[in-house]
Amino acid sequence: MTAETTERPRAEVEEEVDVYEGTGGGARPAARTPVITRRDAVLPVLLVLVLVALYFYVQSRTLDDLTSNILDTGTIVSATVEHVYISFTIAVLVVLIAVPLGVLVTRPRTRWAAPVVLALANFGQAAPSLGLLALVGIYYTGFWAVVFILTAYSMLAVLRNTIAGLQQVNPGVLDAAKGMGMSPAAVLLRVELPLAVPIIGAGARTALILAVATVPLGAFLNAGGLGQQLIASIKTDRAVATLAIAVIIACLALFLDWLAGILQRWATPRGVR
Amino acid sequence: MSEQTLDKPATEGGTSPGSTHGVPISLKKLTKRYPGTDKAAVDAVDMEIPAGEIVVFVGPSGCGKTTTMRMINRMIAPSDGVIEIDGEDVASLNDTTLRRRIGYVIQQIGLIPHLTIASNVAMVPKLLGWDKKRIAARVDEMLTVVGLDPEQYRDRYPRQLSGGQQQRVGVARALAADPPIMLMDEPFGAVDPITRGRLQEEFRNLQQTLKKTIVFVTHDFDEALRLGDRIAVLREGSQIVQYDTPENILAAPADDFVSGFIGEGAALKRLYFEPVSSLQLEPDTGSEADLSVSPSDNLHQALDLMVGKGVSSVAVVEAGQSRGSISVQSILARVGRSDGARS
Repeated sequence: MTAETTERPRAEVEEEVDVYEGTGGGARPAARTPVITRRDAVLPVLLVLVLVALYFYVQSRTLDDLTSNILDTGTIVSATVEHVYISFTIAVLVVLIAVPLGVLVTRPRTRWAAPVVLALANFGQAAPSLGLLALVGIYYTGFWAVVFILTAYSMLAVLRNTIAGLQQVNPGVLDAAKGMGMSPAAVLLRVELPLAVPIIGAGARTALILAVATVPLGAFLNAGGLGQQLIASIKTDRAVATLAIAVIIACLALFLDWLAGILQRWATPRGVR
Repeated sequence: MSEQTLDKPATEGGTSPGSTHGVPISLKKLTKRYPGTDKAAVDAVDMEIPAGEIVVFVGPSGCGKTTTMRMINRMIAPSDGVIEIDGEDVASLNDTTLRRRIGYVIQQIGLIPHLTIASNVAMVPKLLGWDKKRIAARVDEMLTVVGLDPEQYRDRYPRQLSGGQQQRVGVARALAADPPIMLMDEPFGAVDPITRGRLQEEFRNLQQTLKKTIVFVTHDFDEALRLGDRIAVLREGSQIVQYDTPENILAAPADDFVSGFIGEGAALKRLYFEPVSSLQLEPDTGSEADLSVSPSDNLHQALDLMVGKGVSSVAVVEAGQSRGSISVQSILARVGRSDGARS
């Protein structure tokens, strides 16, 4: 080995370091992560393809009166809108109830309530939704009856994630925030909740999807939505209609999940994205 | 009057670092007892912390040093006893008011991850209701003080900084509202040794202009030596075994517990605190022309240089002028003499 060969790499190394000399090293320049990336386009394109394929498949079949009645475009569009409306109502209610509950059971003073609240939420999810619908259906029917049952049903997802989201906040961050003289309310609103957003959001997404998937059962209680059509086609044994409605519900669930995912990313503070 | 001194950072603050100097803190029979334990975690501690000094609490883990420190800004509520800041009993203040007047730096740093560096530093001034212009100016000033270029770092997020840089921001944040007091709990404990050494040195220099009253907790005795104006060696129950300057603790450890804590090489460590100028200089022999120390260097540096170069004496040069020389023998004689004086 001559001095020449060892000299070179050393010089190169020296050139590389020292960019952030005197600051402790290891700095990375700020990177902007956009909310929507190109990859987000994949799912909607796929869903459109599936729906177009479905459309041509249905068109290619000779349909009896009943089937074409069920699959009437106007009816399907209004049923879909209804379906989305019910699902969102449930998701919003779940968040409005479960997030404050999650906050409550993680505060030192009200921590004792945690077992009770969790037991109730567990019960809500564990109880068979169809059974609950039947039970409530004896006394009440319609939109709010279904919203009530399915809200109880989806509660646990958001409650659990709210608790987990608040608990995963770095204790050092909380200690520093408190030590600087932030009030407990300020620590909650300006530190804990923003940092829990990604996890709470994931729970809300799960709740929304659960709602989209279970709202069809609400048709038994006359709540409206695509369930009406699905049940009609199953009852009358119309395979094409059943398939078409099922595919539409599945696409709807996937699309709403996609939308909620973007919303969740948008709501997540930049520094932790 | 004392209320006013404490109020100063809240209402006026400063445009230059260190416009508010430290105020004394006194702990009187300060006690923390946790329910279900017989022994107090902090047992009736009495201590006077002088204004403008760094007092280092050092002791084994579990000795109650952190608990004692955290009672000062009431992150832990005392069970008994009194804390006075500048003569004022802090029990009269509410928690948040008290904490906003005390800088707080912890080992975990605790920068708020979703806020930019600027917002993190601006935290306490914002809580105190400073106007935007003043906050922005103060943020830039503080970042500069801790050695971070505001242009480059202001808009970054904590995770984009290295551990050492994050703790610089941690210090800037604690200083932002110009508090007279700082509490620091192993602030440099989580960074690598090289960065730690640099941060310690810079912090020491910074404090010479700031003159805050600083309570610094560490389990690292060498860190205590490097930073402390005074060191309180604590043992279980936060009992003060010895409370003195680093020089005095090294020269005369109170008991075996303290000697054990000082560890190996107490005599060599003592050389850190003796400047070259404290020795009688010998005439310059001029033999090793390249090697020299300045009178303000410490004897440890001088000895290190001589041992490292394998020479027995070096020239002492001040502002280009030779003042004489010192030899290994004279340093050895010095160590021997103070050892003799002790025993």
